[in-house]
Amino acid sequence: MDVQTLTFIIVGASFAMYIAIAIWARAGSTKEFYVAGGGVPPVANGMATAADWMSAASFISMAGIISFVGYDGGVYLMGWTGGYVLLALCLAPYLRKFGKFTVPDFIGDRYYSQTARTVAVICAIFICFTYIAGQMRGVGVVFSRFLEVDIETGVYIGMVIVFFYAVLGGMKGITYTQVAQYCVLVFAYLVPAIFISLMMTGHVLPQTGFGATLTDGSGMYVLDKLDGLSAELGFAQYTEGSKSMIDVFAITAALMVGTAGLPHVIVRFFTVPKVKDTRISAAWTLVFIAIVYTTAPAVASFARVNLIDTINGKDGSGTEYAEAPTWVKNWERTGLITFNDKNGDGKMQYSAGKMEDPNSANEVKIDRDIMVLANPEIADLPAWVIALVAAGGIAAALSTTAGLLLVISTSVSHDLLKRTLKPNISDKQELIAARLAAMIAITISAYFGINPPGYVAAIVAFAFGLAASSFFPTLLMGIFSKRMNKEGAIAGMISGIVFTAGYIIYFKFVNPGANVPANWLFGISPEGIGTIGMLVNFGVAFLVCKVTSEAPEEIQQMVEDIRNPKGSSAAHAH
Amino acid sequence: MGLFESLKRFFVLPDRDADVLKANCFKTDYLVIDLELTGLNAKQDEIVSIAWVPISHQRIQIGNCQHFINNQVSNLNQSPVFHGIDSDSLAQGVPLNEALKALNELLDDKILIFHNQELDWSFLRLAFNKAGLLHKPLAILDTMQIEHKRLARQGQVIAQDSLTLNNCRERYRLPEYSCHNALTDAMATAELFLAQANQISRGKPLLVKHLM
Amino acid sequence: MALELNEVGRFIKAQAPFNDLDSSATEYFIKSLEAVYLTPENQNQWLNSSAPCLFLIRSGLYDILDSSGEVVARLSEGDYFGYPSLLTGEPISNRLEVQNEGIVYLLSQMHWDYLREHYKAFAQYFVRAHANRLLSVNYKKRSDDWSSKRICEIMKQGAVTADPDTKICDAAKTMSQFGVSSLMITENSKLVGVITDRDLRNRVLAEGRSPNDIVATIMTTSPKHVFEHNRVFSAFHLMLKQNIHHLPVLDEQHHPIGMITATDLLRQQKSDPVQLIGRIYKAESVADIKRYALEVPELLRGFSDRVEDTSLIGKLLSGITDAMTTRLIQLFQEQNGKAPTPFSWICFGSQAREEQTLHSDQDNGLLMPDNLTQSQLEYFKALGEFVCDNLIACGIKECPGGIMASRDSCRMGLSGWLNQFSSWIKSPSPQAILNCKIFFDIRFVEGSESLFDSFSKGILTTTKNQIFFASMATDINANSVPIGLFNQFKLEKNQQKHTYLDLKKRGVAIINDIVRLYALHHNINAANTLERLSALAKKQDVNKSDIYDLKDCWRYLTQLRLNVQLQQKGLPANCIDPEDLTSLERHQLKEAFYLIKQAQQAAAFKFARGSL
Repeated sequence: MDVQTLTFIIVGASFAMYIAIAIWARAGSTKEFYVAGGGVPPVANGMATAADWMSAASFISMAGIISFVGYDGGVYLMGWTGGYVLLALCLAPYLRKFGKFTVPDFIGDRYYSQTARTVAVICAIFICFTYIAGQMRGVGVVFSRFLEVDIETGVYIGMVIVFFYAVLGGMKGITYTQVAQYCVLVFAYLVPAIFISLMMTGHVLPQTGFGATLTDGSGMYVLDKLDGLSAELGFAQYTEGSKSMIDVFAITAALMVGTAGLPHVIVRFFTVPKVKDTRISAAWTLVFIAIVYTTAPAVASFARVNLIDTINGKDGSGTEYAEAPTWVKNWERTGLITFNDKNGDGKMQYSAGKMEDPNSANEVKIDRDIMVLANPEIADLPAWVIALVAAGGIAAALSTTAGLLLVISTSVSHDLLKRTLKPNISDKQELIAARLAAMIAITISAYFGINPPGYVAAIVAFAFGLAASSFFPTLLMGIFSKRMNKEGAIAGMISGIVFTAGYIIYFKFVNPGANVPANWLFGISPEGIGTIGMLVNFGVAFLVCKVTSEAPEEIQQMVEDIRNPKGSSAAHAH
Repeated sequence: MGLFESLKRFFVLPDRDADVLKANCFKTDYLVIDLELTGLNAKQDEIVSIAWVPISHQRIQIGNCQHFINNQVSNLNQSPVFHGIDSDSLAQGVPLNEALKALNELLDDKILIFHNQELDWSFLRLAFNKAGLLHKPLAILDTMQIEHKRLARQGQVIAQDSLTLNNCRERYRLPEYSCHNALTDAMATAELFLAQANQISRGKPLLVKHLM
Repeated sequence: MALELNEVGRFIKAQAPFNDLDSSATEYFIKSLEAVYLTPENQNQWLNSSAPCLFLIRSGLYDILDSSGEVVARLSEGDYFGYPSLLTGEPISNRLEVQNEGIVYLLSQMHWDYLREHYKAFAQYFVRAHANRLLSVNYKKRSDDWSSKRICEIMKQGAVTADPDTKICDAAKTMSQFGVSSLMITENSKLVGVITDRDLRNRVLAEGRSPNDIVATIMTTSPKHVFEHNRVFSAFHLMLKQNIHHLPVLDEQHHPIGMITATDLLRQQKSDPVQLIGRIYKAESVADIKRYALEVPELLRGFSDRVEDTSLIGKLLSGITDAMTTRLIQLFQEQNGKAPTPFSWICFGSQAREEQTLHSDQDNGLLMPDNLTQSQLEYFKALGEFVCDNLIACGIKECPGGIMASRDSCRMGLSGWLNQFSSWIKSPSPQAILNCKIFFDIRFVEGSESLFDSFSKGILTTTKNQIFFASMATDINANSVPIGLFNQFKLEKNQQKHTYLDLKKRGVAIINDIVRLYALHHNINAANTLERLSALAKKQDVNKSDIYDLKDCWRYLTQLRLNVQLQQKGLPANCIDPEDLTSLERHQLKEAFYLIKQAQQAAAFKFARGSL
């Protein structure tokens, strides 16, 4: 059976499984079995959260980015993992005690201001948009390859499927569907990684294979070989960073605090009934995320070695284009690999530099987002593994997108429309508005998925940057500074997000040519500017707070109570 | 000469009119007309507004009612409040001739009904003449005369104001209408006519001429 | 032209459903109308099955008779008829009898079809009207059932009042001048007290008080009262419970508008249910109460035939349970001495919602002050056991979940109860949510009202937790309405292979849950679903039509449930087989379920940010 048929079967089967689980969960709940069972066990909830967490960016793009930029790509790994820890330990427990279900609600009530709530809602919508755009791009890549269409059509197909799944299907909120998605995702990620690790290093675990010697008889370490190849072809050394220290630091920080402010993940911590279970499931989530994240660097380096070896040939002189492996041809059809035989020798040569640059020897342009998907093909793994990866990529994108679309549609229809503009709107109209909002959100995100301002991980990084500069400081001050007032919070959020969005838009859209370290503020790239945005937010907030009257007494009292809990002990007094 | 014309029309009835009179009054088409006037003298005073309500086979066709306000009224003698017409609604009016033309087209095979035809029809006839739309209706019925005849037959003493539209309607327990304009009154007259015809007939056949 | 000037237009616009409909619909309706004069002689001309019409009465009086000649309804100005055959396509089965002739508006089938197709609210209105007519069992007997009447229907208008500083002798003069046996004492037109003949005798003559003292010294302050729109039944209940003979009647603004006396009520026809409650309140012994309790099922059977508003039956049964509870508590205190501290006997669940049925079990609890001594605790333990055991003996089953004042877990001090509630709210596990569904429907039965008030205030402050609301909303959505993807009924099956729909669990209970959630969110204290809905309709950010929809659905399902209960055929309680319904009823039922589903989704969406 060819790859395409198998992909249809496996992706189709995974969808059938999600739907079956949804139906089963509903039927099950009507029999009230779950009341007797005491709800969803923390392990399952941990998996579901991990599925929410791991987006197409984590699945498709992170290994790709590490694979291409090497050591520097590690910032994503550190930032995302760190962000999760920050959220689970520092924010979620306090927000939960506050008894607010969404970030805008917390901000609106903590800062006793409808304006603050509205600003927060708009920030949330903005962030979610950016984030979904990244997901759409990811889904587009998957579909374009496996249906053998160009990336644009791939995004359209993805758009339709996501819309049906998330909006019409009402699949969100069923924990066990997400558990299934996590299983598909992790299986799809690990199987090819283990295969390749076995083939290249003889180690079953990719994590150990990563640090082992190659089995091709050379006895070289994987990373040493990669460093050698990179140097040979004019790339920076794989294990050496090319980004400045401050930029690496800024990006990591932005990713971390941005993650902690992402609205759709915070909600996950509130759907677990017991505080104790929340902690256990958060720990499980970390384990499940770690399984994928620790595999990523190994996948990245194996893929890199394989890629260079396959394109440039074992001797490094290049492979005949006419005899190029089928995966090159397949990906060429999507437009994500392009070959330009500049020296006319009929062979492909891959090296540093841009393919479009006539002075560069590089003849091949490879989109980073295809690395994880192409990896099994490059390594010549069986067709079903390739199909499995497609299903995994879609699972990753679906689980995240469904959550984000819900945040957008509830924010638009409930927080903006019902609460602010038209309080007397009927239930039916509210639901219609929500579906419309989701539809518009998908359409706009699809546009950005087709015309991306960067690759998937980078788009997502922007989303995090925006979250970092708007929500995180406001949440943190809301919890830990009882004096902080609404004027400060609003001014901080606005200046943070305007600064960050402005910086990103300038370098990515208005003047992309100027996007080089020399022009950057403090040498910080647009990916990391969220950190400065966060500092701007803090600074403006404290300044404004100083010159305006401090928060009302009862708010200060409330903040005090939440940080020094006494209610929880009283609850067990009887 | 207006008077001569009307006399001729009234007394010298052509053959087809005789058919009309022998027709079943429940199966005939009617047009109930009401006018609002600035005074009682057809020579001096003017038509403020005109409205009509068609009845076909005992059904009042509400959707086909018409109501025109004459925007050429030179002098609103009576309080405009009485007619419910102020300068705003005057502005929405049309020249009287237009209304008459519209009415003229409907008259062919219909019997006209007024409440107090003597007054209204004299105004209308004059106006038709002026507009050069000489017209001879099939027949004219008057709910006021019908009521007068009915009360007289029952041997009741007929008090001075007992024949006003409102008082007639009250006798049939028809709803009380608070607002007075040509359209409402035409509608009220139409309802009154149906009530009268039904109560006089009490299920027996009733010809148009019995109502004359 | 200018149809709006017309009386017809004015009449139609004020008429349901057009007062809520698009003006385009109203205009179309008016333009398509024909007016006729309807008499006994010509009625067959209009009412014939070959050309069905919708009729709207403008004037006159008409009776609708069924095939057996029974009057189904008396219609007058503003009433519609003819819609059942338009809706069902079946020939006209009822007959019309003209009482007073008058003008009737006709709408032909063609125009009816157009409106029905283009304006859903128009169609809905008539579908519901039809349902109500079908469901109003023995329409004619409605006027006989006086206890379901409103107080304003039977009271004499006109309040005889006096200022608090009126001299007693002047007050007495006023009373004899107006020929009344009681006087309302008002200050700034608000009721502050009441004096009665008996007060003049017992507190003035017997005590030798001077007739020149002011009435404020002898009046009963903050008297019990009722509102004009309350049911007569409630007034009777209150009089019996408090053993008083005069009840001031207040309007919505709390201004006194009259007095209702025991004699007024006795003048009305005697009614068994109310008498029974009266007897329970006066029962001499536990054995008496048990004997009276035996009459309840039979009584209910007779009563349920007669009421049009089925919510009254739940009220009646809850009232009987309240009466038994109160009397048992009093009897206990007569035997064992007065309670050592104030306490409140509270009830939960269906008794609190006043939706009790014959199958309902006990849900009650005892609220006490904090820090009681061991002997005080012993006293209340004995009280709880005494009342609950005797209620079981009276036929009110033991609660399988142990929610009874005889259990230690339901006999707690104020802070104990509050902690219990707040722990559920803070950790909304499935079990906690299940508890909340029962415990958040809460009503005071007997004892100290002020203790209960501080308790309900405490609960309201702890419920302000969105995470808790979100869990409630998620839970509501876990219970699905029995409508499938393609608008077909999803039936359940029992061992006997009967297929059925559970109207209570899949309909009424979901509405109750949704309404409870909104009520908690809006700080509404009432426990009864309809009362909660009425209170919600007054809130600013609540859409009125959503509330009316829920009310309609609730009523419809409750009535349907009662109708089928009367004609059981081996199905579980509260269940129906849709095959037994007419196609129109099936359509209405689907519509009701659809509305519930939508309300469910909206609740999940608003509170839990879930499922579109």
